[in-house]
Amino acid sequence: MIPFKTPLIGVKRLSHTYLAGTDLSVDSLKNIDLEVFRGETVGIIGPAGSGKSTLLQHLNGLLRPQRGDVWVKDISILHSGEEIRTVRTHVGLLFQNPENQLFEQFAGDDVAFGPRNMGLSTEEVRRRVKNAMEMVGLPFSYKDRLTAHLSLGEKRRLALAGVLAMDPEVLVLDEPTASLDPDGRRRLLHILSGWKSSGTKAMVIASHNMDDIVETSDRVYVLLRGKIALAGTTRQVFSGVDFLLHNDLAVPVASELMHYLRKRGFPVSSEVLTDREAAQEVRGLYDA
Amino acid sequence: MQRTRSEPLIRTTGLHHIYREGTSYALDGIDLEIEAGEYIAVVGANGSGKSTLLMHLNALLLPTSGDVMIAGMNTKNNQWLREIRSMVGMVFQSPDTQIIATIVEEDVAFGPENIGVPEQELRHRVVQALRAVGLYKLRKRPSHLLSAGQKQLLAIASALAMHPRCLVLDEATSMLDPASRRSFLETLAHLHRQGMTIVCSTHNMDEAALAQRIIVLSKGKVIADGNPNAIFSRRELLVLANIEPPSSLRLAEKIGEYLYGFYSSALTITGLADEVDAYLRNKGSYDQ
Repeated sequence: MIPFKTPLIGVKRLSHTYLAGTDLSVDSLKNIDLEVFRGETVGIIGPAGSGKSTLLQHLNGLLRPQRGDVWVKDISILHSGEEIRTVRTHVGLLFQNPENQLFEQFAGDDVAFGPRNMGLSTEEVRRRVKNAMEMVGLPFSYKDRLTAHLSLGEKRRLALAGVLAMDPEVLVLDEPTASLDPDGRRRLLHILSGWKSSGTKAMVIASHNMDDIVETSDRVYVLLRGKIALAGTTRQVFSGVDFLLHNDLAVPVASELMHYLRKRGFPVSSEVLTDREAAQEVRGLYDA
Repeated sequence: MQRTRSEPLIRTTGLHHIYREGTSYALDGIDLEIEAGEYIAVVGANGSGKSTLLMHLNALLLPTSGDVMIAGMNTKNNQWLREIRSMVGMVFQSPDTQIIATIVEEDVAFGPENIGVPEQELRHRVVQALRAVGLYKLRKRPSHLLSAGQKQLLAIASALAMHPRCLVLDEATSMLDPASRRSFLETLAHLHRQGMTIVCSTHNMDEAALAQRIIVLSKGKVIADGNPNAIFSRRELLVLANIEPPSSLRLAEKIGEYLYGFYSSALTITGLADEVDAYLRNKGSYDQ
């Protein structure tokens, strides 16, 4: 399901080395090819240190390509000068634990920071702040609250509002649900799917929570030691349970249960992703 | 210091905590006893008081009213502060805030060096702590170049190097990938077998299920305290506390919807596979 042919983001043979030229150099990314199209959500999974965060930081030009290139629409990040500002508007990046990066005293100012920097009029900034806060389920009156007094879930949604207020076309999220409680997590995923529902936006999500990936992602890239080891639809990728477990990655519990049942000789499908599908498979075994 | 044999390692009596006057109690009357050698998970929604409670366990916070006794030493008594802090090691949620030194092994050495551990012993402790978390190979790496998961492992190593009697971990695994999480939990289990007391907070109920005892907090109060099977069999309690059952119970419940009479209280996916296997092989006897 690829609605448009030209990707919003195209990563071409991207490599990155930290501390290049020293004896401590670390090859963080090796020859990465990746595309993000309009309307889709791309999941990125991989163990700690596999290069996920490094990759994400390239998607809006926070890191410049050392080798290879990243295209955001028709802008090459490698060759961009002033256009890098446009790239950062197109691609909104939400870091891990973004609540640690809120810096304004009042909540509204934090959301307004990006739009103000874009040189928008006061009215437009206000309109965008209001919109963005509504999108993440924070009443506009919260703009006058002290940032420090918000709860963890509220702070994270506030940080998301700050990114959404830039009206990006692609949202890049690094572990968006980590350390949220079940309510907070459901709420955040709901906001994200609402934001994306127009069909013209795209999302990239890196997460260790395979339930997050199953719920959100159309396609998945698996990063191992800086390389893309596996890519495909979410269903295809998680059908490789042996491969993923062998490489220290988690799989959705439904896939894992099917894996163990297969090992015990039960003929169950390898393309099970959700609890419901797993229950149906077990029911099928019972009826057979 | 005199203390009787029956004194628990940690005792809180009537513990209340208020962050700012006029706001509600973050902790609202906590009475707990934790024996040396226990493995305890503290669970509850964001804002339920988990972190506040844990910070009382090594005198990072002092009671607004009530008492916290560590091996008979009252945290309010300044003369015990040093001893309490070495006895109870803390690992926090966000590793960046507790990494001090620029090189991995120097960070681990910082604590013990500060309390005057002699050089030979210091070297031994650093190696031992780094091996325990699997970071020994990265000991010369600049700490800011570690991934989030690796930084968290480093924080654990730095706590271990102090040779504490009790490890208190505040959502220490929330940013770890599945593999690091697994090896971290194995490390915890290993330390526990050697007699270490472990108190950890988590949103991950698969992880909480590994503890011997689970304490459920809601709005600053203990609303349940018991072994994992007892806690997770009380659905109404989980809803009340905004926590989700372990994934194996969630999946078992879904299977039960499709397979009348199927029930499993297994807290692991392999355990659930055993139950499904047994159910299917005995299906004749269920049909009666």
